[in-house]
Amino acid sequence: MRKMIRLAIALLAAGLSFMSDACADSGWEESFFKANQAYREGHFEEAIDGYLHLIRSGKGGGPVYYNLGNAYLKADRLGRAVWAYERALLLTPRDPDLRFNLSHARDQTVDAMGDPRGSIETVFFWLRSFSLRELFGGFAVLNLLFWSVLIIRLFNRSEWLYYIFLFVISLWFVTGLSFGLKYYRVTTDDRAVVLQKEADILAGPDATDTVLFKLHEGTVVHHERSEDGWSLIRVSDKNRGWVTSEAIGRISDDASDPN
Amino acid sequence: MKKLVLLLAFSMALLGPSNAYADVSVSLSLDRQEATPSDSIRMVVSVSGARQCDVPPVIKGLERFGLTQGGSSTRVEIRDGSIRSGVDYTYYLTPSQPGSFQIGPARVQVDGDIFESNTVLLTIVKAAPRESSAKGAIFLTAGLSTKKVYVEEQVIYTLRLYLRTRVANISLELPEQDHLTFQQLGKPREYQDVVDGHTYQVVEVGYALMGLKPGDYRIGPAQMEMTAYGSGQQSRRGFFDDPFFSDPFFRTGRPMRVSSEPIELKVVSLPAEGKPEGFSGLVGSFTIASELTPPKIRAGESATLTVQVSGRGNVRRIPDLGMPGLEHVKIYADEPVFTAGHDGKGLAGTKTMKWAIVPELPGDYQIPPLSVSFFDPKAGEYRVLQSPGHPLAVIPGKGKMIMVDVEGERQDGARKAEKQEIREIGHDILPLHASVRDLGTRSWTRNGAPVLWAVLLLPAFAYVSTFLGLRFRKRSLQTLPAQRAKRAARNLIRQCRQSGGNDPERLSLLVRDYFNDRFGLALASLTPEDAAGILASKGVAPETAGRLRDVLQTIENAIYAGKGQGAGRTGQDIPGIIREIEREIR
Repeated sequence: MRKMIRLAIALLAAGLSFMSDACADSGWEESFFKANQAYREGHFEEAIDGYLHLIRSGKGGGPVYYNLGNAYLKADRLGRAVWAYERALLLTPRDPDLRFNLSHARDQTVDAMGDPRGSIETVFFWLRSFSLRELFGGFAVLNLLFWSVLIIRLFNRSEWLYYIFLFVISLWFVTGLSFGLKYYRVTTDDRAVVLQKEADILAGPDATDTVLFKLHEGTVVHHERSEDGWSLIRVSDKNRGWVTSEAIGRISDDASDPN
Repeated sequence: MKKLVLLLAFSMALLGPSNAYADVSVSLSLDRQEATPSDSIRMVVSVSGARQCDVPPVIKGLERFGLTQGGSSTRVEIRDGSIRSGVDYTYYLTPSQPGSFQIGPARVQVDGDIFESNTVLLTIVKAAPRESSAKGAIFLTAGLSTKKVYVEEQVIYTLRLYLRTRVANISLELPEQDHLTFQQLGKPREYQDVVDGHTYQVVEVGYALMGLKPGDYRIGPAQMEMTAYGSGQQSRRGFFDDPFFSDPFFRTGRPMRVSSEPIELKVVSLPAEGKPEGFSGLVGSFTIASELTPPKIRAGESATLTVQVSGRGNVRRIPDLGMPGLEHVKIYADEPVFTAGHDGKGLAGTKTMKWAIVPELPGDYQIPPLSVSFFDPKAGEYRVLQSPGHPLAVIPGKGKMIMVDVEGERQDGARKAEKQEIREIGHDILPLHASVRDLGTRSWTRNGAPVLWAVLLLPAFAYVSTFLGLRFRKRSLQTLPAQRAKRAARNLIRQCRQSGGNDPERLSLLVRDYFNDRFGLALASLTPEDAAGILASKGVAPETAGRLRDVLQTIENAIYAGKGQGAGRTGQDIPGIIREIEREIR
């Protein structure tokens, strides 16, 4: 009996929490429209603040990052625009407007960049066309279908059900593998974007160290580790060095503005 | 009609004395005893007394002669008042070398008997130089248009066959000589000519002769072989002098071979002095002509320059002329066209070369002259031919490039060039996304992702639960009888203890219920014998079953006979017996 009471209390708390969130979310659409209006009126910094507010409040969908990238680009902050577009690409990878604008932004960068595609994306080429959420949704449905077929087979072991099981388990395996790889790529994404107009890449995490080379805003680098406000980055096997952490923004950092 | 009557009479004469033969004899004869290698000798093997032989005659002594069969003919003759038949076999001998040869004997077989002929001595002598006055009915002459030529200069080699008799099956064997080439100039022509007062039918054939290397050549005699038929000239008219018998059907052809005289030819080298640069070895007489059409075009359009080099000589050495490049002009060369032939004076030919000229810019252009060099053997010097230059006026085009129809690939290239690249005029990003769809759910995979794991694991949990539930249910069904048995025994023991065993009717009912629950029965009453039988069938030992039977008997006695003293002790014995039964059944 005590267990039943505890379960009822937990369900009630969850429901209240959901309703509270719903009430709190009632104003985000207005914030979104206000930011869009500010953008259209040329108030790009105001638009940026609006989009960042939405992101911090948990409404960081692909369109918000896309609009944020547009606002950054109009505000002549190329590095942050690239960062926002790359973030949006993770969420809405098949958005043609996004790809166009990202290409436009990349065209304005100074440093030459190679193809960041890894071996996993080369073999599992379809991973770039689906977001992690989409792959999870597909896998969740197939997972449900897979276990449902297994449950049905406990009661009915007919031949046609066996073939259905083979078909479902094949799809289940492919989507599960894709989801796993995508999840791995997203959670281990070490890419970062140079945010400053020009950043000195030093030989060590100290301002007095030798400047190895310079990078310009919008350039995508690989972040290896951070120490005391410095980040070790890698452009290629030849070009590695330290840069101040505020000079770059990690693409996997989605909670807020990179700086 | 007269011919027909004579033919019928002749046939009757042949068919009539079919069996009139006797005393077979064979004779061999030649039409001459002395001859030259260029002659053909007629040989006849005559068999008298038989109309045919079993096999054709076999003649010895012909190893060094060419032999041509002239056919066979039968004959009928009346001698001493008797009719005799015979057959003549005709051959033509062609000697291959001088010498004396014994011809024969000819051996024939008639009705199984062998008959031999006589032999004849034939002498073959070398041919003496033929004097012009000694020309016969058939002779062959050869001549050159000149006795001295330059290398690859063509000279006309003419063969003339003079005939005063009818011939057929003419074949020609040209002399073979290294570094000399013969090429026939058209078909033979025939005409009449008078030689030494005799009218001849002349067959003339010409050849273009070229010396490929300098030197003194002796062109050997050309030889002609043919079948000649007799002239039919008779000193007096006889029975068979009728025009009917002058038909070739009734004549016998004889092979003939005639030879021409050998000829000397001197071939000299081309002079080294004055040899133009790029001289191709062209020797003869040539001209050059050129034409540019149209002389006025738009920029991007094409005009065609046509240059023709033609003449007589070694025309296959006419070179492909090269067109020099022009600034702002594209030039496409067409495949040259070469045509060769001959006339009465030798080999002739023409090479036609075309260029498509496409000016890219308007203006006045000058198409340069083209030149070709050759050696003129008549003048004994080199000459250079030069085509005239052509002015080409180019006016501004219409904007589109029209490529000439020379090469399909270039046309494809032109079509590709006509496509215009997309030119960016402005450069800007695409507008904002105004839809609120897909705005929410940030970082749903972070913070442990309980929803994620729940969605992924709940179906698996449901499956495991269902599986375990089924297993449990299945196991429960399997243990139900044992549980029921244990419960039944437990109930009976507890009831016995509670009742204390003093109520025999209750004890009887308890035992009956135990049996019903324990073994799944529905007995309304249970006798001691039935109980013992059931236990025995379930594997209980007879002693144990007997003990229970005794107990039940005691209870029945207590109930129905009023002997209640033993029931109390019996009630205390029942739990022990039941435990023993359960142990034995298990």
